[in-house]
Amino acid sequence: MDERRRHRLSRLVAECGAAGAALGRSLCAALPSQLPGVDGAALVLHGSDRAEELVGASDPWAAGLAEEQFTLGEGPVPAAIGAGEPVLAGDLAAESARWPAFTAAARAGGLAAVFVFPLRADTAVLGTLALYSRRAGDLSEDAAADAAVLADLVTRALLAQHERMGDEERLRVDLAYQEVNMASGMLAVQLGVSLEEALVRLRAHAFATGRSVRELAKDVLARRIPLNRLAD
Amino acid sequence: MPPSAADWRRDRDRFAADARQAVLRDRPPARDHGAPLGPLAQQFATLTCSLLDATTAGEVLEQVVRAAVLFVPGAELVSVTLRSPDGRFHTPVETDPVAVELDRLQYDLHEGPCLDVAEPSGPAVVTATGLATTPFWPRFGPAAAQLGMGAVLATALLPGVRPPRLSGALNIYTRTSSGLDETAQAAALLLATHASLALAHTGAVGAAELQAQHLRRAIDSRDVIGQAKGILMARRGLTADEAFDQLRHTSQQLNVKLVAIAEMVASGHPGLDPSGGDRPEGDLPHGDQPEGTLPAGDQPAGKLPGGTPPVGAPPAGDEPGEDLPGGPGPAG
Repeated sequence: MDERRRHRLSRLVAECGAAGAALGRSLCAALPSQLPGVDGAALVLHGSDRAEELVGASDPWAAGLAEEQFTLGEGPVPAAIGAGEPVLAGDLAAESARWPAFTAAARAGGLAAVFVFPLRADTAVLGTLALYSRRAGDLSEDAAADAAVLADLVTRALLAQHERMGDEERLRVDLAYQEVNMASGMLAVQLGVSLEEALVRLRAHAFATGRSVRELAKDVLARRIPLNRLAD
Repeated sequence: MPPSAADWRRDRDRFAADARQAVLRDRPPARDHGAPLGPLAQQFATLTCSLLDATTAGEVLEQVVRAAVLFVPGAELVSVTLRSPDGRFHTPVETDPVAVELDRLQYDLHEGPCLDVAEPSGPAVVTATGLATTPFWPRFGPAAAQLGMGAVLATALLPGVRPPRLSGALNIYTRTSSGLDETAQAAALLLATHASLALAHTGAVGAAELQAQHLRRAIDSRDVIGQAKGILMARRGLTADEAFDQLRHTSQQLNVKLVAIAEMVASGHPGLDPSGGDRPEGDLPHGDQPEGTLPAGDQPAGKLPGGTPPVGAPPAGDEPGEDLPGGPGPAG
């Protein structure tokens, strides 16, 4: 990659970083116009286990695709996290054996191709940058190289930003999936099950009813869901 | 009873022999040569095994700082400084936010014990008592005293053989100005050596990887805080904001990190209790708490999982055998 392109990408990340905590959101919003063939982008961070944070998405469609994979626990994002390598699916229709539930749901929503780049810090995989496309076809070589570089740049920016934050600020980060954690806690008490089991039931119920786990979590928190529906 | 200097020397010699054998035979250290191990050596043996099991540098360092508070007589605040090859410093793990502040002061002022020993050509151990008036660090000393510190002990972590060859320091702070004696130095040296070996064992250690560990921990923390909020909402009929305020209030009352309180609430949950009762042991009672404070149940504040002892707690040296949940227990 030539210096000029790398410089342009650095500047893009730096400019988005000037938005402070909204770095992820502004970068994802900028990507569709920067990378040819990309219609949506979402940035997700992972903790250990199932902890996950949606840091930014270009639009509700991309956010929904990220959430879909969080609900199902399958798809190119979990695959890229597991492998620590990019997962490139230029033709999602061909992937239905690999991710049956995700492929069906995402194609119904208009997704045709997906390209996921892991956010890596040395050997650790911190999360993913996912690029979504409404038309089937591989990313151009240039766009794929740009995306890989962007994933590195944004990883460094997020880590640096995190190091600068105070403790209180770290806890106050705006969390897309916080309702899910809260709903797990509530259900665990109400059903007398462990926190892990509560999350499993939330996911299973969301899947069975064709909803996202986040919507369902909101209903649980608002006490709009009869508990016996989730009892087993 | 706190160990005497002679106890330490005996234990240390025996342990060094163990470690040598382990390195020569390329397997975890034998815990016994036929003679019964002293309690300290037993704890170290357990620690070594868990250090060798740790797969990331971050895990190793976490265990080492937690162990230092337990094993080093007088240790109150503990942290690790890492120095990257380009000469930059950072603190990847700590037992108390004040320790981060103390480290940062040294990085900013370009002076202090952790900088001295983290220098690849620096001394192995640096210690100073009476920080307020120490001649060694005219700016750091008084600044540390301002934060309530009386004495400090920094022990070098040996740089790894392979790149990126990070060097560093195990930093131990105490509020008493007479501070950290020879026994503490022996214990710290032993811990630092273990930490260096374990770091080498985990392979290449990058500063970025440690930062990543930090970020991942924050994500997990936010998760557990959400879960704790949900538990309180269900148990007490609170809103999300009220639940958070309650957690924060308790954290301030007990002077324990909010995430430690959240972990306590989450782990005291009945789903984890085989009896499945509504009010399991250690859980939060309903309604009888003073002024909205979450009582710590039957867990004394000094023994919270992953927590730090509150200000004013007796120095760890008074109870060297104190067993934190999740900490290394006696071998056996």
